Parts: sequence; C-alpha cells; structure tokens
Amino acid sequence: MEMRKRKRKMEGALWLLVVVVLAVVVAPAESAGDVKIWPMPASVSSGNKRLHLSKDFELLTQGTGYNDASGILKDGFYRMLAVVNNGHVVDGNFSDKSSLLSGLHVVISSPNDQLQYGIDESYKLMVPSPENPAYAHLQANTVYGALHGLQTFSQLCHFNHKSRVIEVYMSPWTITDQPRFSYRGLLIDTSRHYLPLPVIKNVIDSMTYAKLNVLHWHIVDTQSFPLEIPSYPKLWNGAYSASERYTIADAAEIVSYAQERGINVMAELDVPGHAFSWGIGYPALWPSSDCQQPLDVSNEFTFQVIDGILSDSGSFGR
Amino acid sequence: MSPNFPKPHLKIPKILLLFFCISQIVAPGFAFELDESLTFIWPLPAEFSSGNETLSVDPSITLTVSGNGGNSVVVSEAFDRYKRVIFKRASGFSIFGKFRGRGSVYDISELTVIVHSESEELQLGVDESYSLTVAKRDAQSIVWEATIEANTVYGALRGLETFSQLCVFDYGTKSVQIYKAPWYIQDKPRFAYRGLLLDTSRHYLPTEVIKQIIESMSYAKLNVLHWHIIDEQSFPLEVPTYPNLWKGAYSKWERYTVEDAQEVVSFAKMRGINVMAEVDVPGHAESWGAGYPDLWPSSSCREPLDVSKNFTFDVISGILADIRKIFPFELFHLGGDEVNTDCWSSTPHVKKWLGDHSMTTKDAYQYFVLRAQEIAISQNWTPVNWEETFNNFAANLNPRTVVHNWLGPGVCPKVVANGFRCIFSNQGVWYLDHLDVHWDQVYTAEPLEGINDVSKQELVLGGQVCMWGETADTSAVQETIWPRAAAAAERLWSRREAISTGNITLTALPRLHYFRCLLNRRGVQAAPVTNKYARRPPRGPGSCYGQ
Repeated sequence: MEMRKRKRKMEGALWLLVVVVLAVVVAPAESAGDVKIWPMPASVSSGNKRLHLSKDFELLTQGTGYNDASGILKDGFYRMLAVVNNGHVVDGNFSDKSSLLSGLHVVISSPNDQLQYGIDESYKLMVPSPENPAYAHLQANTVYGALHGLQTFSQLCHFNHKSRVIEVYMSPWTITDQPRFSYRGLLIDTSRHYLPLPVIKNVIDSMTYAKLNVLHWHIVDTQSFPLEIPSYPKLWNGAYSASERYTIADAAEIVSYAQERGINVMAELDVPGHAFSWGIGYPALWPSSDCQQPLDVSNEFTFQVIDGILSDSGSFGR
Repeated sequence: MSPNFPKPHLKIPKILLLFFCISQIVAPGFAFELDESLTFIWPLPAEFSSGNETLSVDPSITLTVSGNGGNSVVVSEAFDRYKRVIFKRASGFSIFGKFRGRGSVYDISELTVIVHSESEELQLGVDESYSLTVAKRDAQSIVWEATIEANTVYGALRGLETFSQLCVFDYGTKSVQIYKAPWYIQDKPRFAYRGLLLDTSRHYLPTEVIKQIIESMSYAKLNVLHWHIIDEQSFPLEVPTYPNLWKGAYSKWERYTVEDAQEVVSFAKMRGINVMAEVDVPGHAESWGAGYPDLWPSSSCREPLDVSKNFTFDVISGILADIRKIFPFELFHLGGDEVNTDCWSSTPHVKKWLGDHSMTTKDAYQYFVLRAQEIAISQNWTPVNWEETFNNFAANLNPRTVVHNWLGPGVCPKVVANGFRCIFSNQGVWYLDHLDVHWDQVYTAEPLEGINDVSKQELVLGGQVCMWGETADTSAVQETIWPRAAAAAERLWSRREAISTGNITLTALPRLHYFRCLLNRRGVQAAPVTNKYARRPPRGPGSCYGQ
C-alpha cells in the first residue's frame, strides 16, 4: 500500500514536471510585455537570435499574384526602409554572413488593389523565412495586408550603436496578424482650423504607424467652409481667408495619398446643423439673416446645393 | 469685417446686420485680406521696390546658372528644394477642366542664378548679400525675367528663400503667381551671427527633428545653430577617444554617433547654416561622470568637474580633438556658466589642491576656464563663453574670447567697451523657454542698445534665441521656437531703422501673422502669434491670420 501511494505520488510529480517543461519550451519565448510591436499582433512568437539587415536590403516578389502596377507595394517598401534608416547613419561592417538578411520576399495572393471597407488586412510575417534564411517572408491576401506587414517589420528593426547596422532582435519571428475591427478611424476637423496639406499628410503617415485605416475628414462646419465646390463656387467664400482653402485637386491628392497607404478617407458633410458657413456664399441657405442655422429645410435650393456638393465630392473620393 | 458667428441669445443690432449683409454683397471677401501697403517678406529686405503687376510662374520652372559659383551643388539642391516648397500642390490639373487657369504660357519659366565666387567655405561673416530682380528684360519687352545675383552660394540661398516667399498660390487660377511685380530687391543681413540654441541634453532630439528645425531656420534666414549637446542630465554624443562618456545618455537609443553629428553639420551647411558646438565646462557637466566617475569631485558631490585632476583636462582635450573633426565652424562654445564651486571647497582632495596652489575657488574657476580655452585655441578654435566668465575675470579672459550675454540687458555695452566681441541673448527677451515673453518683446529687443560708438557696435557679432530643453522635447519644440524666433530673426537681419519706427502692431504684426501661416503651410508647427503664453494651442476656432 505504501509503495503504491509513493509510486503514484512520483508519477504525479513526473507528469507535473513534464507539463512544466512543455509549457516552458512550447510557450512563446517572451511574454506580452517584452514584444515591442504596437498594436500587438494577433499571434506572435519569437526567439533569441539576432539578425542584421544588408545595406542593399531588397524587395523580392517571386510567386506573387499582385503585379503592383500602381506601385503601392514598392513605394510602401521604400518608405519602410526610409523610416528604418532615418534615425542614424548606417555604416557598419556586415561581416557575419550567417545572420545577414538580404531582403524581404513579399507574396500577395489577390491581384486586386481596390481599397474598400472590410477588405482583408491580414498578413503573416516570418523573419527569417524557413525556406530561405537569407530573406524574411511576408505573405498577405491583399497589398493592404502587406502594408501592415511592412509596418510591423519596421518595428522589429533597431539601430545598433556598437555595430552601426540595423538589427532584428529576438528572431526567428512568426507573426500572424489581422485586425479585430475593420473600422479603425481618426477624425480631423479642418473647419475650426485650416490644416495645410503637408500637415494632413503627416497625420496620415502617423496613422499608418498605428495601423489606423479610416481618416474621417470633417471638412466643413459652422466656422469655415474651406473646400472648393465647382457646382456652387461661392461656397468656399466661407473659408477663413483666401489661402485657407482646399481645391478639388488638393482633396483628390489627400485621398490618393491615403489610399496608397491603405487608408480610406470618409468625408463628412454635416447637415442640417453645423452649417452656418455655407451661407456666407449663399445667404439663401440661412432660414433668415438673423437666424442662420440649421440649413433652411423649406427651401428646395438647400437640397440642390447638397446634391451638388455630394456629386462634386464623388469626383475625388468614394 | 469679421463674420460674427451667431452665439445663442446674442442680439445683433439691425443696423450692424445691414452693414454686415451689404459688406458681404459689395465685397464678398474674407475676414482676412492682406494689407496691400505692407511687404510680406520675412525678414524684411534691406532695400526693395515693387510694382502692381501679377505674373504667373511655370511649375516646370528651370534653373540657369552662371558665374564661378553657379555650378555649385548647394545652388542646384536648394533650387530643387524650393521648387518643391513653391509648387507643393498638385500641379493645378483639375478634373473640372473648365476651371483651369489660362493656357500654359507663363510669365516666368526660368530662374537665373549668378554666383560670382566659387568658394563654398562657410564661416562667420561670409557674404550673404544678394539681389533679386523680377522685371521685364527691358522697357519695351514683354518678356519677364527672374534673376538672383550674389557673391557667394550662401547669398544665393538667401535670395532663393526670398524668391520662394514672392511665389503665392492663387486659388482663382490654381496657379502660382507673383504679385506686385516688378521687384527690385537688394538685401544683406545687419548682423553676421543670427543664431538659435538647441539643447539636446535635457531632452534628446532625434536627428530627424534637428534637421526639420534647421530647415525651418533657413526660412527665416537664421544662420547659426548653437548645439548645446551635453549638460548635467545627459551626455548623448559619441566620443571615440573616451567611449564611456556616452554612457551618460538617458538610454542607449537616445544617442548621436559621430556620423549622426556629421550629418547634421552637412545638412546645415547645405542651407548656409554653421553649427557651433558647445561643451559646457566646468559646471553643467555631471553627466560626464556616468562613464568616468573620477571626473566628479566625489560620488556624492558631482559638479563642477574635478579641477584638481589632470585627467579632467585629458578628457576635455580628447573630446575637443574628436569633435574638431566634426565641427568646422571657427567658433566653439565652452560654456562656463552657473559654476557652483561648493563641491570643490568641500571635497577634501580638491580642497587640498586649492591650498597647494594658493587658489580660492574663484581663482580655480578662472584657471579652469582659461585652461579649457587654451585647449580650444590649440584646436584652432575661437572660444565663446557665457558672460559670467567676463563678469568674474574680464581682465584675464583670453582676448579672442567672444562673450555670450544671457543674464540680462546692458551687458554687451560693457563687453565691447572692454574690447571683446559679444553675442546678445538677454534671457528676459530671447530665451524661448520663457513662455511669458510676447512676440513684441522679442521683436523690439535691440542688440546694439546702449552702444553708440560705431567701432564698438562692430564688436557685436549678433544675437541668438535660446530653446532650452528642460520643458521642450520633440513634441513641443517647434511650437515653442516659432513664431517668436522669427521676430528675433528680423531684428537680426533687417535694417534697424526699418523695424524700429512706427507702430509695430500695424507694420510688423500682420507680416508676422502671414509668416507664421507660411511656416504652417510648409509643415512647421508654429504656434499662434497672439497668445498670451507661447506654444499654447488656440483658444477657439479661427483663421491662421487672426490667431
């Protein structure tokens, strides 16, 4: 009886040991607190090897289903490299070939680069690639998933002050990621204060760093109407000043700048309130000259103007 | 004529409303129109005249160069840079073709830049003068020409900046135009030294941020970046001869390699900006001991640097030798301010050394500064020191010293009376971290105040605004620097008579508003001009031109 009890205890302890060992070996090497990627990917595993980037880090696309005619992938890749390299001058020696990453192999399955709400933004990033350890591997269903993968890759890269090269710590990495929500937006308000184009573009660039994907452009409001509306050209008389305005071409440029970064632009035309500024150019839109909001519901003209604005806006965005 | 937004329950007198409505019909303009009698170039050029014609500028404008310095890469890179700044919008192509401006024949399709000297040497006092002409080829001609002529490539850079400020995007024709042509501008700075201090010890500023600041300096024609690299709190710079020094950095990522510093210097040079490094000794140096604790008088008394050890001066020599290769500017700042010598008199081995050398702590302070100056001079530098050195031992200060005023007004007159050169940075008006200093106080500060003898006036090299970093990190630095630094920039560049008479609320404020909005359009986060405190956000909605 004694012998059996002791044996059972020992078996129990052995099982416990096995479980503990498995937990240590199989579980991710780092806990969530150690992985410095933001936002935290859906699933991450890493190791403890250090790799470094070649000076001519290149983009490979063999076997991809996406032809990148619009250059979205290529531009995104070079933007990523610029961000990775911009903090310091990289001029170290790359003597250790066994830890060298020569480039990133990107395979995208869909040839389509239409940006829409709800598109597949998932990606899988492996650094290094299991088949070819001289390269990292990124696969995604759409080019926009690939852009997110490039963003994550950029956050794995660090400048090493001793060796003067860009390094990737804690490899091998296997990251599988997709967003929880399809709509991850930021609103900007260009009516209360005019924001020049370079500033809006800066905001868009910063959104990509956090994988936000909708720019809600609250363009006009009570205080000012800065947007050109060709069908009703006096509307932008409601701008603060002649130079605090966006031409249609400016708006189109913002939309295309955002689109090639995987960001949708949702324009807002707030009606019937928050619309005092419309009447600067067309006072008939005001209920009266001393009661100027909301837009005059009884006047057919009001809806003609709204119609004009919506169809003109359709020309630069969707 | 500002539109009054209807606040709830506000009764607007009918007569005012009538005026308002009529004004909207008669002049459907904006709240903010430019006062045509003012010249919207900042800083104001020395001499200029304009007309009343409007010209169109070709987005494919080309550069033609001549003169011995015309082929310089400084000029061609600047032209590309300014072309991007001037034509930053989509090229005016519009989906609505009928709204396009007139046909594609432009008044100005070519910019000619003539640079007489081929020298690209950038030192204090380099010739920054230029002339900019936008005029018809001759009286009978219908052809317009734009020409910049300068003695050096750096004068050409100043001319390009002015040219870029003449070019304005017109929303009616969707093209870039030059108003009030013809322009005849002859320009040069009043002072050779027009500086901005950046402090990368209290907060590390990434090199990308330093470059953006340098770029914005060039818009206001500032020409010296005083890089206060190291101080008590952190030592971020690599010093190969003493590689442990940068262990005093805040973190391993908040550091500058030698190559980073070189890149900052060459980026600045392409914009005609000298970089004056500062290694402040013997005070403000606690961070040096993180890597070399022997530099501290003791582990519990860490400033100033230990005057009793030769090692201290070996390290200073090593630092200066290493960074001499990075900073070619002839001026080098050795600090010397706010030296509290208590740790010398209270630490036994230092106290003994003082006794052995028959020195008071004040003597030792002088000894330290002079010895450091000798090291700088041996590296072929001219030392710059904060004014305490002058205030304490003017008689013994090396005569080559440039004294940097900061404690208050009335200092440069005494400095130049003693034959020293002076840089004006009176903290009451030109310390940008003093957030309660208003733009007009910055603008009206005069470096030559109290100095009437012309030969003494020549000893004032110029002045500098100082962006100390205790409460200015990357997130706050540009909105703290601008727009007040622009006020100082005009004080240092423009002719004294032109900016010291009249009501500056009428003559300078609208122009500063315009320049602030220009900075914003170029992506520089210049804060509202008329806020009570610097770098505060606007209190409510409004136009850039009114805030």
